[in-house]
Amino acid sequence: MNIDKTKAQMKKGLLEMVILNIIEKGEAYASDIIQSLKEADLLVVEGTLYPLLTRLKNEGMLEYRWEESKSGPPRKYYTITEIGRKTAGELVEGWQEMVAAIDLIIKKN
Amino acid sequence: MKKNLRVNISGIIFNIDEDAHIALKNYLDRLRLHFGNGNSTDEIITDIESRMAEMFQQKANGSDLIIDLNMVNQAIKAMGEPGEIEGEETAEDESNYNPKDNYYSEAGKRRLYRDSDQKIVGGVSSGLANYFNIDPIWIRLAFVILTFSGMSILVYIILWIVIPEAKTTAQKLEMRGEPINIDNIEKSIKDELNDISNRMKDIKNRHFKKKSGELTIFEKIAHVIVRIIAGIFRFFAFGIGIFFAILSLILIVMLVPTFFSSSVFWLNHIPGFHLISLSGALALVMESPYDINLFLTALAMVLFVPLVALLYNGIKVIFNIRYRNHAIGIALSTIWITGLVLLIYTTTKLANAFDREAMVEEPINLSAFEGDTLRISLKNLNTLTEGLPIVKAQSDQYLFCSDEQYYYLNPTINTEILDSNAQFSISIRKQSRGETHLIAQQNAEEIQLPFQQNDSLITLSSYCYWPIKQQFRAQKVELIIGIPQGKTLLIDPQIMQNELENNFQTNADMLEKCESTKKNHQYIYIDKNRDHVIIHNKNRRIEILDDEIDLN
Repeated sequence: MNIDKTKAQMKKGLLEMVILNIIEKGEAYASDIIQSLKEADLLVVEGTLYPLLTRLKNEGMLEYRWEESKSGPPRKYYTITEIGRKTAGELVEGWQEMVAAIDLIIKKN
Repeated sequence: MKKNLRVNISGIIFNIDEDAHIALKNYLDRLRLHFGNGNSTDEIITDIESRMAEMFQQKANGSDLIIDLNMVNQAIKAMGEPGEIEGEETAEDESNYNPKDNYYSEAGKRRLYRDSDQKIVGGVSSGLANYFNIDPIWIRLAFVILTFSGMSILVYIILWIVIPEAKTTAQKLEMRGEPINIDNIEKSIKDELNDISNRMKDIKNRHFKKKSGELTIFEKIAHVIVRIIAGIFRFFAFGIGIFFAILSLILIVMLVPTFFSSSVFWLNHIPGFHLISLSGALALVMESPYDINLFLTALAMVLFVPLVALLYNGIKVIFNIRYRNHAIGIALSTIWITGLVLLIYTTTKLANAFDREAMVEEPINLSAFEGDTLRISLKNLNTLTEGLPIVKAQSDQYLFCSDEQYYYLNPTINTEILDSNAQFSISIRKQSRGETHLIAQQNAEEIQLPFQQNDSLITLSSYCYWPIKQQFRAQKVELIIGIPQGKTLLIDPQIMQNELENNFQTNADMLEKCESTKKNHQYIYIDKNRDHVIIHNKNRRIEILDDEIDLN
């Protein structure tokens, strides 16, 4: 069993939930999100984030506005929509239930 | 010294080294391929570009900075290769099954390219394998097996020239069959519609300047008809492409052995040509091997270039290769014209060698003999000519060529009538052509026709010959036999049976003047009254009426 691979797959599934939660806390642009994800050791390569953001936006969970930047290219600041907030809530709920259930299994042994 | 460029990444101007620029561009192309042709791809790529610009900006820290390859590589490492991103994407694609984004499993229209990534020689086999979606090993195996027939090497080289190499990622994608999705189809349809309406507008502006705006129904119908005709034409073009490719391939297959082998299988069935090769035939008339090779090369250039061009274009049509290589066209034309010039040069040179004609008449001194009858026997030398290549030199003669020293040719026999008080006479009239009169005369003198006299019996060789170094220069040998009036010429019918058809020519003049004499059943006698020649044998009678031969 390839532990790294399994871990990577676990993280993959969680990324959307985490991204939605990060943005829920407040407006964020890609580099902010990357920073948070990297701190949580959830992101291997940055490239992964962009298709996810685009898809979440296309699904109506995120919105963005442009903001000029003094130190670089204009930034896309993402905010969460109502649908996004709802989805994030459901995902977190599901996650917590899962963790609790799995905890039970693990502790039994 | 490094070249550097100014580029605009996400609205910020950077100076970038050329190699770094190429690496960055390749990376973005790879990403683009990876994400497919969806609408969101552009957005994703723009976002990624923007992030990379930010990274470079941070590195620069306000100062003027030139982006080098190292920085690009670092940025790529941070963003991740398409493969790494894909690893995290796959699960998502499965969970969020969305038919709109999904690729059709069937490959799109493939285009034939040489696959230099998998090449062993020129990437032809792997390219074909990609096109037919099979393992290259089968194509390679086929080429190797067909090598024994000698053809596949040529075919390979032609394909190598014809098929373009897949250089860009887009071409590589096309080579493997680009995945087609709804977006893509939509986009191409839109593009096509735009294209069409633009073109229609063009036409309209040109021809119907009064009208403007939407297309009329007639124009639409006309356009549909044009498209149908174009479709039919394309279908036929494909058929014609296959036809010409196969035709030219067959002609090449047939012609190659003509040039390189000692015997040509398909020429063997033509009477008079069997056992002769093209170079063999040329050796009969051309002195130096240099000239022969020059002629063969020129002929090959003139013959093969159009065939190769035909094959090239046939393959292009069949495999829908839209790739213009002017260099090939120019090269082929140059080769063809060079070949034509060489061919004209060599044939002119050859024709010159036949320019002048000369005749040498050589009387045979006959010893005196008793009686009124001269008997002629031809010594059959057929054993000498067995297995020799035969070239039909003239309508009624054959030229035999031995590899060793001599050419052989049947002499023709003619008679003339002399005064009754004259003696029998035989003379050999030798004719030849040559570059000058002198050479022609020398060539004629070289011809030999051995004979023997034994009292009234003359034995002649039925073949004359001349040294091989003399070449074939349309040599002719005529045996003129003078018969005094009232005397008889007898020709051995045993020989006649074999030689009559080719060698014996009756002379109408002779028939009138000669007296009929019948000596015995074995010999010819000439009947003045009946106006024809009768040859009697024990069990057959041969009548000759002028040139006709009637065997009963």
